[in-house]
Amino acid sequence: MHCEKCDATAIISTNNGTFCKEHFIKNFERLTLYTIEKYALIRKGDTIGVANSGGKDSLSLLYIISKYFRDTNKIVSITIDEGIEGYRNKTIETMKHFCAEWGVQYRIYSYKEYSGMSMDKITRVRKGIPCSICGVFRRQLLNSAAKENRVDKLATAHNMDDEAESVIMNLFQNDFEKLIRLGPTSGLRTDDGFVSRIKPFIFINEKETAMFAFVKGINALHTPCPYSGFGFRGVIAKGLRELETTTTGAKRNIVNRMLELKAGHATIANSEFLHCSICGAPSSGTVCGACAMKRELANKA
Amino acid sequence: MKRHVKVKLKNINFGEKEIELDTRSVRELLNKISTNDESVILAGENGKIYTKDMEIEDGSVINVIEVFSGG
Repeated sequence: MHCEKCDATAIISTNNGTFCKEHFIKNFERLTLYTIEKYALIRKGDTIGVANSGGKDSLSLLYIISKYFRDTNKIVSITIDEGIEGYRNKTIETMKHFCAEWGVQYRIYSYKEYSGMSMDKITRVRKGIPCSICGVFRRQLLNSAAKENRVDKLATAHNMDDEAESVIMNLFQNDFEKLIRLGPTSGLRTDDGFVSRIKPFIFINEKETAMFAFVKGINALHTPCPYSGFGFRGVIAKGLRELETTTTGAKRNIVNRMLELKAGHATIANSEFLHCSICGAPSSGTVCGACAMKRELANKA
Repeated sequence: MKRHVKVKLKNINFGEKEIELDTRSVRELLNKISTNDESVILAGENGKIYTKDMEIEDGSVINVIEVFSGG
């Protein structure tokens, strides 16, 4: 297989093209910058927070944002330490080394400080799928960390696989409102309590982010979260990857259809958020999901 | 050229194992380890990256790097 831009041997072939190493790197960066520009994800002068787990996706994102925006924007790396022994402590070390190398300031916020329990402890005291509580806490903590650091845009490394999985999950769960909150900028509604989240990798395959990290020597740990197999997402992810191998472009088509649906339902943007009666964060109910779960954990402590 | 080859695989989770291929093809290798091209990067020790249409030489050592969700 040869690169579509030159005659060199290709290292990757996806719906985004078939490229040798040199042209793959160029195309990866070009596609990321195109997405940022097309959807106006970053403005000159914005303080950009990068949600940084220390994994391959977020380090690749921090690499590109540092490379192209450090002269015009303030950048801060935000890491959530769930408290998963043997996993997160390793990726945090990788994150620290990377931030030191690139001169990016970083902040770490922990579940233990936020809820009184590490994720490892939560899984011992609370039955059910770990990802459900972890996702709620991570979103809430990232948002409050972004506000504390006066971040204008919070960049997450969600890629096309993540986005296509979320679309399918929301379809299976018949949750149309959640489905149309997806996209390059999260949500349809704005609120002073919410920091705008952006996804510059939304049109990039997970294999491409892994390949980018690999060929750029970004030394990220290539192991999954030990709790990831418990979630519904894992089932959908496996199915979508198998589908993509036989139907190239399937994930992109899923994401594109979601964006069209979202564009057609922009009127939902006019409705307003409620605010949590406990923490004051924007919420769909009178108590936000994170406070409800913290209350549940307090009873189990 | 003989079609039957032995390949040594290395992986952070399963460690090392040797597999035999009847057709030398990357596709057969992916089938044998129950994965697909979307889910792994196959990197030779010499820096070569294997795509699904390639053939594998006898005695090759290949790192199997799984493409997992971050988070």
